[in-house]
Amino acid sequence: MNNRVGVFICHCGKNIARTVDVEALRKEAAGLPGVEWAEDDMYLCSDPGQQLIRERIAEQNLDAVVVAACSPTLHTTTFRRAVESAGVNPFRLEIANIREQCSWVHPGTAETTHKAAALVRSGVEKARRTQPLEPIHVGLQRAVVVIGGGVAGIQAALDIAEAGYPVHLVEQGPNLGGRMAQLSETFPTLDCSSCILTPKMVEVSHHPLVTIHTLAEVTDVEGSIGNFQVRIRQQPRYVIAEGCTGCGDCVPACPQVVPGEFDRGLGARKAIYIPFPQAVPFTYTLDREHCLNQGPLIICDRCAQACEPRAIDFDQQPSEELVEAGAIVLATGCDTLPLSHFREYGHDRHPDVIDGLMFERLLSASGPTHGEIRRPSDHRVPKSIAFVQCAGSRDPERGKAYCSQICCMYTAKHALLYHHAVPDGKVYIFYIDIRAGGKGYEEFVERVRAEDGINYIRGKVAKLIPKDGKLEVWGVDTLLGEQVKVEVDLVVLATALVPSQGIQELARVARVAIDGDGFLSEAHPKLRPVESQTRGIYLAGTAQGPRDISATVAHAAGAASKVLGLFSHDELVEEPTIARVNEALCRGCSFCVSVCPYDAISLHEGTAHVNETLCRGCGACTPACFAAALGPRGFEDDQILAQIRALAC
Amino acid sequence: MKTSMGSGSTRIPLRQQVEELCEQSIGTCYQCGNCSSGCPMGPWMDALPNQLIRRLQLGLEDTTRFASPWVCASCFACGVRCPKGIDVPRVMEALRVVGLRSGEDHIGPHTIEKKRLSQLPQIALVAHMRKATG
Amino acid sequence: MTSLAYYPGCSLKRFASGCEIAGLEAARRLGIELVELERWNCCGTVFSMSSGERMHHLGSLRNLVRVQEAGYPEVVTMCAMCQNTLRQVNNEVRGDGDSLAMMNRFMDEEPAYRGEVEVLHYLTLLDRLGSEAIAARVERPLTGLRVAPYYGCTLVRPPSAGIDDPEDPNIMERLLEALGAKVVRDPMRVECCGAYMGVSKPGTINVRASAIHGSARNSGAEALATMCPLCAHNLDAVGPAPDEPALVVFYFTQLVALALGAKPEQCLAATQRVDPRPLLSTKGLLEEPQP
Ligand code: SF4
Ligand code: SF4
Repeated sequence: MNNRVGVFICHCGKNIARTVDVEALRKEAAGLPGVEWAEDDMYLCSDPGQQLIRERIAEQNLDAVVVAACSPTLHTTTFRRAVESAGVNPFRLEIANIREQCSWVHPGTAETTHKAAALVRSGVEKARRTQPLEPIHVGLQRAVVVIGGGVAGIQAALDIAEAGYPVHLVEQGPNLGGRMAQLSETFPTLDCSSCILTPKMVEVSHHPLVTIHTLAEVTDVEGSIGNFQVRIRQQPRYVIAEGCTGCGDCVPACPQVVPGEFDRGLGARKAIYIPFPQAVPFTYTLDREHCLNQGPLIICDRCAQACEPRAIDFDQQPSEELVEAGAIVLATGCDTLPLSHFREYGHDRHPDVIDGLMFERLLSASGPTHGEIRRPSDHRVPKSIAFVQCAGSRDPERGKAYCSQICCMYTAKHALLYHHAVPDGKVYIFYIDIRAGGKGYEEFVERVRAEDGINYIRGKVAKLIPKDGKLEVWGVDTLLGEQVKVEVDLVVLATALVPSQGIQELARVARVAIDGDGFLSEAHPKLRPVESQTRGIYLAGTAQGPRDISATVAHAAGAASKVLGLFSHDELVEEPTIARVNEALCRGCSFCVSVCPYDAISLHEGTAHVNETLCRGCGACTPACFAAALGPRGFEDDQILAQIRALAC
Repeated sequence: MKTSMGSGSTRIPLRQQVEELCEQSIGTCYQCGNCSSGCPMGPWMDALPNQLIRRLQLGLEDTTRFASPWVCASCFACGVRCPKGIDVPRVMEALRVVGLRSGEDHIGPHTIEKKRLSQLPQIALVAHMRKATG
Repeated sequence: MTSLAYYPGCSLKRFASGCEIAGLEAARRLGIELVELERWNCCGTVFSMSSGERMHHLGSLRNLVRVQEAGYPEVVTMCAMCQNTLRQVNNEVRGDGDSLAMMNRFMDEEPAYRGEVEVLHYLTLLDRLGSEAIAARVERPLTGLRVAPYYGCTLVRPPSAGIDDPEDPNIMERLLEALGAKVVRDPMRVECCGAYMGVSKPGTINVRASAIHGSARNSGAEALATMCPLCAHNLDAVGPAPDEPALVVFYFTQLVALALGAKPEQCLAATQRVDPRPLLSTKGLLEEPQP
């Protein structure tokens, strides 16, 4: 109650002064109880403005400050620093928002100044009662869990491990590599995808600080920034990693043939398999779902017989591990809309209607056709191909409203590679707009159009009609204003990118937000693109939204650098304005536990307990508590009530 | 002698008339052309559905001079396939209504040969009259 | 015997009577009595899609009032165009209370329509019975008959008035399977036949019919099956260009009646340009069903 308060009123150029009579306001403020000094300035946030505050604090021996200016979301930090450098506890700064909440939204009448005065009065009442608060210091576990073993996860893991911190890289599938491992060549440079990815996979797998968990999932995340406890569930591989030499003797022995997921069903594999020759770890996997041994009884052990090092173990069980980590990186990648989504293109009934990733497998030397482009129905080399862009993208009505970002480029690449492989083949690319916004991208499309003479037809395809072993494409050339009907041997749909399966469950477990399209939400679309809305959890790659390889790598490197920034501190310094429990009053009803949106409250021996790193000081628990036993520090009942009273008069 | 009654037209712009009649937002169209790709009557049209919509977007008043709305069979294919959810058949209908309100019918019993008239099923005649006469 | 209100529409009383005769017989054999409304009028054939032409909905609305008067919650139609127009009008007044009130004021000689009647297509009715129940009543399985269902437009579009998925419907396929026929899934089955444009541009219909017949033939079909009198007219009576082969065009109800054991006269009542008898007799489908 006895704080010596100084009031500083900002003109904000004319933003405030245009409608608020600043001089009248200053006079009124100067006369308020507890106010030792009141002054106005053109721009308080400027260096001279801050200097003014610092000087007056010293001169007038102030111990609390009210700044009447813009919204506290803008300059709280600025003014806290200013008062702190003059020796005032930063939590004794109050901001009266007389711009967004007053001058901008009211006309220049006496009422407006009156309202500004009420806001200032309210701030003064609070300032008179503020107590000094000290930031909270929390320990920090300098280790990371990276979820997702594609190029984003690999990049993030390597950057963090290189800086000297241990990383657990958790991959759901049997091997690392993700989508990039499935690609043939990459635009716009036509680098072979595996040639640039394999060295990274090898590097990460040999890094002494990286522990790789394949066939593994994160099933639970406890704790908060600096101190997460992550539960990793390991599915059995039924092949002992240390034993398997990668000789592959088991494969011919296995009688079970299954469509290979890695080849998008275009090729076959056995129930014991390795998806591609450069796989890391190079350990075979026994897929129990398709193995003859469905129950506990072993009726087929041909692979085990064939395996000289005796690496096959039908008895392996799932296991769990609890890992401590200061940060988590989510790099769970993406999927594409399934062909069955496209009813107008015949669902997935026509074998010669495939998606872009399937075409990548047809182009890939390690793919089902060893890099020869052959269509699925009769294995003939297609003499004509139609590429259909925006299949499900930019289609709010039946697909996804967003642009998938990569299709224009990979379609141009597909056309080019096909043209090189089958020079007399005909290509039609049906597109709506060409978006080639990366470095060297427009030049690449230009080369495909001009040098390779690929036919771009501007118009969306309405329907595909199978006809005599071909597909009739119903399109339009909107530039000519004419309908187009072409018969082709193969149709490649550039299907929309969508978040990978299971992202929703992971988001729930890790308590991160997802957006309307199911991608992970970043904290701010422009300024915090690699942070999730949950502190300590970072995003990398297409899990956050469609992007190509170079943008994915940059995003992942960004996430890694955020982690390293966090780890550069010895401990975490947290805002003190978090909830505190008055243990004498708490009756242990646990109502607050259910109300807290951050799961920060738990009951210990009948008394509520606040986790200091989880609590964000939102105050939801305050009205929930019947016993008035808890609420955020810095927002005490007497302070708030005094503020309300001041507003009312 | 020419009498001038002040400048400017008092007519409601065509785009606005059409938007009110069809209750669709013409500006949503991004000219993908999907409506035209699948239009069964496209071969007989003098402007494809997407072109009519484009003309309306630009506010071209002469859009009513095209025959396409009178060739449209109201099959609803374009409406089902528009990625932007524009009910294109309603746009076609609105153009027909604007045309009919100007007083011209596009068919009539007298325009059809007697012999054919007796062979045509009532359902076809009534449907076409409903679409092409005021 | 379940009784349901039935709205035939104009075409089924005239050139498309074959559809109705077979449809009523098939329903009877399935234990459903379709009670024709005592009074009814033309539905208007097409739905007026413009906000300024609401008065065109009155014809359909009066029919819905008739159903309400007769005390039925639902009304069954066979004609695809009638079901489409009645459904769209019904949807429109249900979704817009002001429009309903205005229309009711306009028809002040009629009891006010409350918007509670459901319009049901004959195929949906059969589908509700379920394939198994229908299969159990089949006396003359259509074994070996390769039929391509042809939906046309109004059975499936717009989706709000459709009886199945607009791009990939399945209802006729399901029912045909229950009848024992070989289903041919033709990609042109939801593409327009040209509809009423045959009136002012006769040539258009031959082109459309050629594409539809050709595609079905290519897919291995021997016959088309439809539920729309206008489609039937365009595909059969007009048909492809004279030098092109044409498939038999059935009303779907004719195939149902045939499979359920009805007499061939009941199933093939009105004239079809392409005579279905030779095809049916090669499949042994004109004989008395085996008990
Ligand atoms: S389909 Fe829709 S968005 Fe595309 S051109 Fe036609 S009206 Fe426009
Ligand atoms: S409704 Fe008319 S414009 Fe649209 S696809 Fe059918 S015929 Fe063409």
